[in-house]
Amino acid sequence: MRFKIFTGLCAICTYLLPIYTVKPNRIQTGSAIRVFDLPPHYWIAALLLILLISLIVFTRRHTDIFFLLFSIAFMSHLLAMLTFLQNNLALWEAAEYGRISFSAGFWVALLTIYLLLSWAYRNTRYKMLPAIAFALILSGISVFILMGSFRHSAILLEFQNRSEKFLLELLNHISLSLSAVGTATLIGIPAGIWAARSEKYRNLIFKVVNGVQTIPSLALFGLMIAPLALISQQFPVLRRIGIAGIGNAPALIALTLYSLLPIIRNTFTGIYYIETHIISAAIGMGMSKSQKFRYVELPLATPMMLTGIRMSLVQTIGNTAVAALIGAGGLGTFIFQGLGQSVPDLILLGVIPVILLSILFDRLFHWAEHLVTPKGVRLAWEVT
Amino acid sequence: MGSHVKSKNRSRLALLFIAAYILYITLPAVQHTFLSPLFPNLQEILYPRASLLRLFTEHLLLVMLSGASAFFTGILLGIGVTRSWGREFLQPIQDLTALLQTFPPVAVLTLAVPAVGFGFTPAYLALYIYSILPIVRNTITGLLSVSPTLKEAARGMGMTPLQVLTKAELPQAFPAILAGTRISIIINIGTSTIGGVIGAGGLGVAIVAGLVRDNTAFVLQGAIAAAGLAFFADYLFESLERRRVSIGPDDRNT
Repeated sequence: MRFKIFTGLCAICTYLLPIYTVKPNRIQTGSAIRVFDLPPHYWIAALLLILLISLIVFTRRHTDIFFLLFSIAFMSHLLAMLTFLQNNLALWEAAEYGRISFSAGFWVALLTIYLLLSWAYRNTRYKMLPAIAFALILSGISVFILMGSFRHSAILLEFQNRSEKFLLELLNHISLSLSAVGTATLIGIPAGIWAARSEKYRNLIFKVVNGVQTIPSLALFGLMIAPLALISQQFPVLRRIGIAGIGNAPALIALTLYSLLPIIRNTFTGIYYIETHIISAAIGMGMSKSQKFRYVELPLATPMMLTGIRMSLVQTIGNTAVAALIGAGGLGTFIFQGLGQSVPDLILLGVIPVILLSILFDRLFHWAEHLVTPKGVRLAWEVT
Repeated sequence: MGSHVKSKNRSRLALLFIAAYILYITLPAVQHTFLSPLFPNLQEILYPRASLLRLFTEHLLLVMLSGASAFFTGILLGIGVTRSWGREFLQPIQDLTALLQTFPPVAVLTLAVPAVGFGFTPAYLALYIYSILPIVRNTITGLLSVSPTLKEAARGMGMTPLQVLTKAELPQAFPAILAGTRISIIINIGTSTIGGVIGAGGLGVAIVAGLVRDNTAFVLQGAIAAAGLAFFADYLFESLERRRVSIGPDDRNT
């Protein structure tokens, strides 16, 4: 009940805050648009939506379906307002070069929709419904984009001005993150296994990777520059293949070092904490050391290792954005360009894909973890 | 006996490093003598626009302010959702914090600019919000892991709900809360280094200036200070955690 009231309050907040900002051009600040600044039927619709959500909050039955329908109506209303603004930019003296940015109300609206959908997901009997609602909203937005309803929205304009560069930097970002985590996996898994086997070096390994993880990412990038610049000055051969103080090489090294800790720690945990009776059973069955490793330890530790790889990948996608500061490219380029030119929408063009990438890879690996978990382990979890 | 001597030596070594670090931060002469042999070709060795001490103070202020406010908010939020009147929010808060933790800290920091503008306030807000996440999550984990028997016993002794919370639950959950705070503060120190780009000051200013002007000495000057700060904060929390373990309420092993 309290949670539903809270969600309803969030919906109301959307309409109290400015939802969009209309700017005459790229640089000027522009004017904030609340729902009350639009023609009457828009704010009457808003009042009806508020009435509707209050009714839904205080009814007891089938709230899940009502929540889904409401979030679709809510989103459509937001998009309708956007369309109206695009077609009537002249009202705010912003006809030709006018751009529309999202404002506080819009972000609150997104939070509201997230809360509505997650509530519906937890409480509905039809587990597919929220997914259908999500797909409907997403396809609705795509249709609106194709129809040109977003042609004045500032992020899209920033994107169109550099669509080729955007794709290039997006791919660059993904490949840099993946190659750093890939290298870290190749080093980290053997190191984790070694840490589980050798008591002598365990402390040392964890001291070193923990220490690296503590260093701020920007500082680590900075610390990489000096030695690499020195080395490439000494050996011109290296410079020719692209190893220099600034650019991809220091970024890749720093990102790899950074990704090591979660992978090593999780590999260690996965192997070290296998229950002793399982190991005894394997030995009792007459397995050799390598058989025991291949058929018992490795399969049981794999989900844990994947968790480590997931954690380090999510973290690396964020750190790769910082790597743009040392000339490694990637989506961070747009973020720091936007910060330099004080163009908020250019910042968003960099930040939003970075966030989406993190979430995407996080989900993907969650799914993979589920797949590689041995059936017996999964059954054991369900029992407990 | 041997381990005692070892730990004493360890803390002496740490003190030595901390003293060296303080000298490095406060005295430009120390920074100069340290950095100039590394960069014989550079004219300027030290970042000229502000002293390292000032950048360090700005950095520390940002971290402490956002960390302290996140500490209180996080604990209050964690307590709230584990009470019977707030249980309804437990799952949503856990889902939401898990989602938000997937956001890179840099993204949260730079998102603050379109929302609030440049300067100290957006950096403070972004770090504050991001630091709440590990603290809330660990507070919840800590409070939920307190055994029902213990709470029952506390109630049976005639404690009021507030006393049960402050005398039984929070002391049990404290190690988890401390661990969450440690994660927050370390991430915070790292992220506020990037705060230099959004006009919040801090040690990142020297690093970024060095990167822009292609002056590796500035970069190193700031990077050493930032890395040192993170190391000492981590060391501080580690020793706090060790002390907690020895005098804490959980003495079943002894």
